[in-house]
Amino acid sequence: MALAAPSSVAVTQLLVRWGKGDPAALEELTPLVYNELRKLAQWHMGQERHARTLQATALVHEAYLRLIDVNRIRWQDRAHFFAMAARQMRRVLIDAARRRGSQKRGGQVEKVSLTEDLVIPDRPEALVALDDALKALACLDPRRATVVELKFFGGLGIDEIAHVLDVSADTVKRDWKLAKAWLTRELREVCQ
Amino acid sequence: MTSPERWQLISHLYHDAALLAAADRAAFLRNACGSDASLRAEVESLLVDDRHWDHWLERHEQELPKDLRRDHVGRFIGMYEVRSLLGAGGMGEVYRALDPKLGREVAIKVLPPAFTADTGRLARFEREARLLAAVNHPNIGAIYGLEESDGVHALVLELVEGLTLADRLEKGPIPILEVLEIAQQIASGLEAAHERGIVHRDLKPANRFHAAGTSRSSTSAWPSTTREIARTYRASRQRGWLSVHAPACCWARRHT
Repeated sequence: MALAAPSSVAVTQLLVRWGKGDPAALEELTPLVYNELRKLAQWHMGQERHARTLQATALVHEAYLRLIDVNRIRWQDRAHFFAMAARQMRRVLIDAARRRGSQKRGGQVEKVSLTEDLVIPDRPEALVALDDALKALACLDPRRATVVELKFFGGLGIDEIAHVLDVSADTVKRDWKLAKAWLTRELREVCQ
Repeated sequence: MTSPERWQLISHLYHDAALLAAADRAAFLRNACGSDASLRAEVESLLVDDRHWDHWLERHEQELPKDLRRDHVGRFIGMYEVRSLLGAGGMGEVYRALDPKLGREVAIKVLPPAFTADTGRLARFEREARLLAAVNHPNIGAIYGLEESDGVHALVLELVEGLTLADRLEKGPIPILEVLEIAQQIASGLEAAHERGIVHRDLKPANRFHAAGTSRSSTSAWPSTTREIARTYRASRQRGWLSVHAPACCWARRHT
């Protein structure tokens, strides 16, 4: 296919090393995942018109399949991969949303280039507002902000989030509920 | 800035109040917050039922495909053992898979559910696959078969390894003699297809492989008879692929 991924053996090894507590492995892994997500997003945009509404969470899953040899990792490592990928997906989307916002303010004609800025998120202004609100929430309540990141940008399920954060599933549900209440209030103020 | 203690308190009151019926919340908060009006206002602002933004935050998860892609890797489609995802686009996902009988690897293109749910579209696709299967040319990737297994419709294709022309172009200029050879091979493959009334709907550098000195078009992106070209051309304009697609309208004129 058109898109070559970094060797899944190497990436899988990094993930396993990170899972065993090696922080250097995470440092190597993070840019690989970020680049893969960007590349995937660009590739989808090049393929199909309807990819304008492509789902961040679907991209994270796809990156996982492309980068990781699924037969060689434990499910705990999978959860950690998704947690890290969720953060990188957030970066990819917010970077694109901010670029798009500044283009609009600059009055430029909307265009789709083949090499840059291909991720055009759904409601870019809301994504930027969400990112700001999440930063504020992270200062107040880091765990609940992380729950949002994992769920919204990473597509993790409640149980997976519970594992990553080492809390009960009920706690995650309550965290998500409160975080949503808090974020909807912020979004309402900024976006309408 | 809200202190951690105050945030704790807000959080408890929010959860307790949220469990109550809307009509009972005011009395509960009046009682719980006492004279602290700002605490009460804060909790009340969190309790506002905002369907719009709540839906927006939830929607991303709801629209996540139910791990369709993960489901295929490590499983079988017909007799083929799916090994990894090679790529995905609007026309489906392409996997690397093993044909256990012949011991060779193949590419399997799984059609998207929206596609297979439409029986007319599916019948047309199968007809086109049969047409394409009749084209035997060194510059066209071969079709090995059509599979249907557990409601999954898939096309089994020759696995063409190597860089695409798009990858090559990214690395820098290609020597002119090689360009001519590549062009000749593409033209030769297209001609063989055109002779059977088949038009490549999506010819572009990323859909053309360059393996072991031989160019071949990926059949996974082929599927069109002349009838469909006009529609494809419209779609391609909206996609911004005009420069790559311009020849398509010439073919359309030639064949229709």
